[in-house]
Amino acid sequence: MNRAINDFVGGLCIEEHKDHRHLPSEHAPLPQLLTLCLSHRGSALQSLVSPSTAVLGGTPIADGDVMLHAPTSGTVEIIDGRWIHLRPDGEDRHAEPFPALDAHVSADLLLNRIHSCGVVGLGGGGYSCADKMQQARAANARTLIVNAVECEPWVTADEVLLREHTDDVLRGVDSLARLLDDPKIVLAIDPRNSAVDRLAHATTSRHGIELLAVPARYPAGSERQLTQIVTGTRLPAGARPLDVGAVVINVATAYAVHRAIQQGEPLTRRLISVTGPGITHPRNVWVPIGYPVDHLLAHCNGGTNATVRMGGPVTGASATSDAAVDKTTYALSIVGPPARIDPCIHCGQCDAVCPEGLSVDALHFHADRRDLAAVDRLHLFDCIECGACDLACPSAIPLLAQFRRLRIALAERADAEVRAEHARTRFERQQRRQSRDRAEEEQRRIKRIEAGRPWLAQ
Amino acid sequence: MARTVSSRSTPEIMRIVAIALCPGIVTSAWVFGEGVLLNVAVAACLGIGCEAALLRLRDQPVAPTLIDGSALVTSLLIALALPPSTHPLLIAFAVGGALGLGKHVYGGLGANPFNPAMVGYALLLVSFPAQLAAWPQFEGGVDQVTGATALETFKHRGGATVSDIWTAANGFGRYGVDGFESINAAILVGGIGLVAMRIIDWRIPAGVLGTVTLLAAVTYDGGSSASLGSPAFHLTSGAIMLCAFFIATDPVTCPTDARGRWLFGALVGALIFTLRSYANYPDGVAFAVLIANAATPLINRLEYRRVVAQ
Repeated sequence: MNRAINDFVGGLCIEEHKDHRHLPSEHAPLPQLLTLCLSHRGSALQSLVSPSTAVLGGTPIADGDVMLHAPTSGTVEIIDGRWIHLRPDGEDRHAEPFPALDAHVSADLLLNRIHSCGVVGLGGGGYSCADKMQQARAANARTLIVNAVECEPWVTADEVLLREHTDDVLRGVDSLARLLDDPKIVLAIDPRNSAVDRLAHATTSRHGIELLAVPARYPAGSERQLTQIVTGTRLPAGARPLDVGAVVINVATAYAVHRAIQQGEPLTRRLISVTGPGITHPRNVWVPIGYPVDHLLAHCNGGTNATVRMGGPVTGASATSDAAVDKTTYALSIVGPPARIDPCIHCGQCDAVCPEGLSVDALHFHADRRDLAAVDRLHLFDCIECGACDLACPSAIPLLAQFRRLRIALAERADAEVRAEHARTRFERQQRRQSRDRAEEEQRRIKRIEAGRPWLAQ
Repeated sequence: MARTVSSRSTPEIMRIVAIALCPGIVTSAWVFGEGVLLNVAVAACLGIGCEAALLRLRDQPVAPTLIDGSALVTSLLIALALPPSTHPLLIAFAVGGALGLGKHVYGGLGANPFNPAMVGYALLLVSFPAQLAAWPQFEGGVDQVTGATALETFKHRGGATVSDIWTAANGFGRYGVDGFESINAAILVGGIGLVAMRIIDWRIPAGVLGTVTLLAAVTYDGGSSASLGSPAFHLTSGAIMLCAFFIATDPVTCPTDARGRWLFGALVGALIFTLRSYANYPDGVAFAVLIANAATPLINRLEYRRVVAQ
């Protein structure tokens, strides 16, 4: 294993809290009801099934930017425009899988399979894997970065998946590499990861996969920071890894790609960590997509939805009462009682750890005063929402949550401005039309007068 | 490159700062007698009482804020800055000024532009200058006579050269006044502890002490009657170490970023040297820190503009 020679700026060393990394993964029992969301990354999916249809596991049930499949056999119950409710029949029958694709099929066939199996980025981004690889092909990406860093504390799902399915993940990586033109493949991993030995063993017999130990500092696994560690180039604000010729794929995504290509199996389940300081026995569980969060918490003797974050304990957002696991849910984190919040003493720790070099202290100062123009000037939109500032703050101020609220407010304001602009153009157009109509009417009146019929002129 | 951030909470940080002041307090008591401990006890009690009263007046919850320990640190700094056995009413004046006018009028911890301890001390200094100049002379005996400190001797020496001062004055040690040498050394120990624990940013003491040393070295002419004192004299006299490690480093009133902190430290150091050498008061720590505090928003602005322009 090579040690990374490049580093990213900022960041901090934190407690891992990953004792459950050595436990084997478990399987969650089928729930009474699965709730599948009919939108993906903000864009709507078209339902392919009608109410009360019986479906088999693996049947496509919605299409759009990405495809959604029934995780198990059962009846589609309610479609209220936003959700599909699937009531499992308990028999867990599956449709015939796609035929396995061998190593020599064309790239288009591979991409097509990845798309029709509904594979998306499972590291949290959720971007369509087929689209991403298509763009990487178009941009002639030369570096394929496999992200096994999983730097967030308490979360070990990728690590356990990688340890239990090392060869399958690497096969998925091979398939993805075939889509690119002989790329350099770098598998980036934290040196403390328990899958390192297996990986080192598995990669010695393969050619072309470099195992790279990243700095054990949060957030080394963040896409932009990882790209800098691997390529040595710091991404400018707003740039994507593809701009420096790199494409970053999460290990869980690579595994899903393997299942799609070699097993012909759509993405209908994933491994997630049910973890956090508020649970006695953190663990990793295979769950079908659409698993209700409250049901899973009851199964794992966890807390209630009110104390759960969808995602890791640092970056996860609070769960709603009817939340369900979707393709991007890599963890459910049960947080402890909220820490006491002290006033900001301007210690500057947040500035020092920000991996994007933002002036977090100034952002917080202006955010408290709801000065949207100032936070925009201070590059709030370059924030990668890693939460390093939250981890560093001695006063336990929830900075990330505040910045997220502000981003929503700023986006809404921009929306309102666009709407106001539309309204103004519409109004001005109407004004112009009316004055033109009046002018034409006047012209016609003058003509009528000139035509010698003055009684029409009034 | 790897940066570990202290995972300590703000109250823990304040408690550690208070503990780091202990070597200084103990040495000061050893040099000047129990009057120092009296100062500390009176200031601490007054500080906590005053903080509680002010929180009540502001309709803030008293108990949770009181245990953040920031009022205690402010009181301890004032107690160390005052001559031993200062009258309790004078201490009350300084502590009340510090917490009331220095902190709570601006909205409490984190919102004050000026270092509260230095606000209180400066208020007392301009109101009662004579009482604050009454530092005991120590000649190793129990009978203590109040008299001028080394910095004051330097200021009001007439035409004496440095060696004249050293021969004339009792109690002068190798570099400055014996007792202050030990006290500054003890405070330096506590300060280095804070730097090692990453409670304070090393750049500020480095900036302060570096600038004072540099200016003293540049202006030192070997000890003529116009000499402003050697670097060693400046580094061992007055409240220089207390300022460099405990006062200028107050995160609330110093700039937030690394560059700004260098600039701030250098500004404090330059002001201390200038005030000591040319102003009316023997030591210039309080005014130097307050003036630099006033410049902090401006220094932060430089960083703000740099970030915005990114």
